[in-house]
Amino acid sequence: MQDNRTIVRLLRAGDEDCYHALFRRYYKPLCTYATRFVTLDRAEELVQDTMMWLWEHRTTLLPEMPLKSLLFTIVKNKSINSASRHTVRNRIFRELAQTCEEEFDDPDFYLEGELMRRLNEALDKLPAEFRQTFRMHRLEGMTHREIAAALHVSPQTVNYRIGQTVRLLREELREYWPLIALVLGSRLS
Amino acid sequence: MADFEINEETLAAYLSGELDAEQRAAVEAWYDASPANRRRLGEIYRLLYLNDRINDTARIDVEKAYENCRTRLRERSRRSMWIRSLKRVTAAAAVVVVLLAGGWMARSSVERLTQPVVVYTQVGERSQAVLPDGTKVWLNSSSRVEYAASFFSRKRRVKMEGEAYFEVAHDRHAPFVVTTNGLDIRVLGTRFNIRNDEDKHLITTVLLEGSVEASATDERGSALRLRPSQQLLFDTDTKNMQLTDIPTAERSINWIYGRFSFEHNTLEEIVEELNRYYNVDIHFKDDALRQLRFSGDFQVEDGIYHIMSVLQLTYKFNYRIVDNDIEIYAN
Repeated sequence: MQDNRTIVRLLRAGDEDCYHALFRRYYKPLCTYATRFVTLDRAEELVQDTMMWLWEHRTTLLPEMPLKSLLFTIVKNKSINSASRHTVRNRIFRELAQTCEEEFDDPDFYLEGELMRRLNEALDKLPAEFRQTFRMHRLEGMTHREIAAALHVSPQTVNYRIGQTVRLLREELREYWPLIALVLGSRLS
Repeated sequence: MADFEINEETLAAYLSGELDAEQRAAVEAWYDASPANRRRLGEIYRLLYLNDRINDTARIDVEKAYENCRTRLRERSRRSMWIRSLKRVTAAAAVVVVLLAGGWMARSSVERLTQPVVVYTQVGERSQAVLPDGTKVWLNSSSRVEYAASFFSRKRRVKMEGEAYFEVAHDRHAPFVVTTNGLDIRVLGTRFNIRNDEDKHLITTVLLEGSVEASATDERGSALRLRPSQQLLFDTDTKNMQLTDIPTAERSINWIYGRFSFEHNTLEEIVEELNRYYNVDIHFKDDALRQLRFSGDFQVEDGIYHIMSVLQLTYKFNYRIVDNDIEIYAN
């Protein structure tokens, strides 16, 4: 991507190709970011509104204003004002969320997607049925029992597959555990 | 319970909310027991978060979304031709300038934690933002709010200029302090409006709900406590404070809805107010007119020319438009 000033200049001049490129670059990361707070459908709505706002207000953009920050800030504000998805259940969830907050709030986490790519690669090393079980496990509304029924296996099997998958992923992504995990580890100790 | 064991399976189940109360308690006790345990649960939390994001967004179709936006933009621009002239005034207000000064642009985490969040507005704009702690803030024309707090700090500090209305997220353990022009307002969780009138050396604080403490910056000894529906006038020169009851406290935040409300105000006061919102200079050709009094409710979107024409309906004065200025003269 070229530098911010060039992009803003092109946008201000009404360059649709530039807008299209910008859309391709930001749309998915912005949606991914918004799904922290809202469902995917709502996330897509919010992000489309934001991208349309960008086009309609292109002449008011300032070259010094980083589009990355602008877009992520708008999407964040819109998402937070929308119904919140993660009802923080208790102290422990709050602590876990807080220690990851900085990392998960960083646009580059979504734009560069290095960690997501690594996770996908690691998942690819697993047998297909493990992968499928693990993905279903976190899809909304699917309990272990429901997955077991859908896949015609026992709940114990579902449990085992999920456990093995988590073990493997922890191992594969070991080098990516950031310092922030250490912060959590040393708290209160 | 006998066969309950803490392992990857049960920890993942815990995070997915699938354990019963007794099992949850066991995991929580385990979590509190050692840093290594906390780290282990933290890692799994992070894995599941990543997996959730991948799951969530796997079915996104970027090109379809793009086509959808293009179609809607075309429709909107056709419709807006008709109402463009009506919208000119609101367009300025719609440009929300929310700039995260630090955070996402900074590289190191140390910088990230210390960089403030800045929200500001230009002349004629209004804006609303949610600060990182959940506090909602509305900014009136030409105002600025700067929020500094780290995740691990207990203090929430805000510097502001201009006029802003705060709905502070309650946190008994983290006092929220607003500093403006030599005045500190300390709160726990509450709603209040602060307005700076720099040329009058005056800060007006109106408390709508809750309780706040006001003191000259760094002089907490002499703090005054406001009750709801009270107004504090602070003279920024003499540091004098004056506390009064104000039954119409809610009126102080009319501006967040884009409303002006004048109640037996002098034309001079009204003109000062209009100058804050519109990029127009209003001149008195006859000083006696400054003391005329008017009442009325307007919307910012009405525009300055509409407001002037309504005030003029009283036939107490006349006005003419000269380039970008308005001149007020006697009949």
